[in-house]
Amino acid sequence: MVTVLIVIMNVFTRYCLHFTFFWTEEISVGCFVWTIFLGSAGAFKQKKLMGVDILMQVSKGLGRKIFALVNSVVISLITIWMCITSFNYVKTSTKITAALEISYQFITASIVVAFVLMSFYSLFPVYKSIRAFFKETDKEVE
Amino acid sequence: MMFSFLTNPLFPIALLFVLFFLDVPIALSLIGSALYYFTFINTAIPMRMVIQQFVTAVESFPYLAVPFFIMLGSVMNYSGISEKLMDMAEVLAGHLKGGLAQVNCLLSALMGGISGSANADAAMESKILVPEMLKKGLPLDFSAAVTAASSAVSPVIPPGNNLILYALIANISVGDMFLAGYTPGILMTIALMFTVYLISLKKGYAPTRAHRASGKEIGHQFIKSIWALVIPFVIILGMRMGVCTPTEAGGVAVLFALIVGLTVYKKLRWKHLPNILKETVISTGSVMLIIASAKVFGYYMNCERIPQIVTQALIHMTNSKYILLLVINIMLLVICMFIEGGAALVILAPLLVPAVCSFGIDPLHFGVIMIVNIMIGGLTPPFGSMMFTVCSIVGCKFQDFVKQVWPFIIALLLVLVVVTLSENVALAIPKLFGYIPNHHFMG
Repeated sequence: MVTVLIVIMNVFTRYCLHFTFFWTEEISVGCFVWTIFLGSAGAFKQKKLMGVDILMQVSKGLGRKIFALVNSVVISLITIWMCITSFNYVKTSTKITAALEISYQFITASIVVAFVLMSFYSLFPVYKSIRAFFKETDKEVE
Repeated sequence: MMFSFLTNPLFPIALLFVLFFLDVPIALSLIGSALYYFTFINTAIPMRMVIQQFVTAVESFPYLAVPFFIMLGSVMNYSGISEKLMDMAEVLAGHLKGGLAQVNCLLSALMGGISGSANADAAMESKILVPEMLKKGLPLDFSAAVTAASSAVSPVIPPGNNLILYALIANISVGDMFLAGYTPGILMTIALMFTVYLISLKKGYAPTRAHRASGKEIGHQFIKSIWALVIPFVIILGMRMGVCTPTEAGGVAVLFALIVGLTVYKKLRWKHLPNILKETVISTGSVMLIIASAKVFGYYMNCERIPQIVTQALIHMTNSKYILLLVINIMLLVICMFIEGGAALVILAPLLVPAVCSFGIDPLHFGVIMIVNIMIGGLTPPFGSMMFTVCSIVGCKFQDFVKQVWPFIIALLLVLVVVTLSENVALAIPKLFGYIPNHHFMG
């Protein structure tokens, strides 16, 4: 996945620096959108999305386990929800871009891909936090 | 109707806070509450319109500036430019009382938000400077406090990412916004350095070098770091002269930094490039996802006319713009204790800018107030984000940190008061370049 991202970055850097063709803006914006959503999926995986982790830091023991479970389930629900809605959107989208006359679906598909990835990544913590309940030792739940 | 509150138009806002406190990432909290609204409360708007908002938010050319400036920070770190700036700061401030603590403050100003966010700056200085400070005998808690406090300066000095974001949200020129950041940023640096001086005087922290650096030494170091120092000016001049747009300026600056790193300082290697790109993509993703989701959430707020309601409420509450600014400042300080500054900016600026404009406050002036303010918020106990960054990297105890950081917070708050009361502190430099303040009453 990383290599794909690099190619995308390279392409849009190159296009932005030679600023001559009318369609470069469209290409670079398209690549930009892809970069953003793939990047955000990557950030999600690496837990780099910013959140407020006060309760997580003050809670201990059982409270912490319950908290981690609720947290991971809620995150999964939101990402899956977004996945479905964005998929429906892309499916019904008929717009085409101004210069290249390609379908917007090529651009908006990035959202679906990103949220599919995020949903996928989000299921793992759910599994982990459920398992934490069955462990006797009070190991830290990530 | 026990559950009627679930369909209350204001419920998504409550939901947003619940999600925040559940440690759901900010972007996902925003999406979640907005989805809830458009699914259960307001079903008149088709979902496709909502997703459309999500896409169009990021599908704009000006926002392309964001990844370039993030990448610029990353390139600067790898290319040894940061170290050159550190040497420069050492030559300039090493002889002052407090030694490296002074260097720390000055370095943040020189780095000037190139690192993109205060947290990145705090992390960089915690890793590079704090170990040095400990070696020179400065206590850990004090070093941590200085590092966190000084990192508040760098996003205010151009070309910081927050300045770009605010300019895009408030629909003002990025170039003007950059210029407006200089005076407040410099004031903050002076305030912090003065505080370090007072504390060092009391506790007897010694300078790192015995004498003031000679003019020759400074000149020598200046030539060595000239390439690093010149980058922000190139960017701003390019934009002000109308040679390039902010996006292009960012691209050119990245290219420039790459060339300098590869050929002049020779610390950058081609093998660093994948890492730089990866860091850039990840940070861009997390910043832009917040922007996109804030747009969707903003769409909800517009449907319920919440910005107008807030404006009305503020107008009813007071008719003095200073009281208004005071109220907003306090509110922002509290909010930013909990939320990272950039996210708070993206969520709150669209809400507040129309309100303050109707009071005849210049949007540029307000932007500077807001950015200085959210930086202080990130520093303030109990939940400031820069505080957590520094404490976790250098391994400083939370209670010790809090004891050391309050003089710096007071110093920065004084700067905030000055910036708030006097429009000219922020606007003097933009005016010099032909900016005309916008006071007309839109209400």
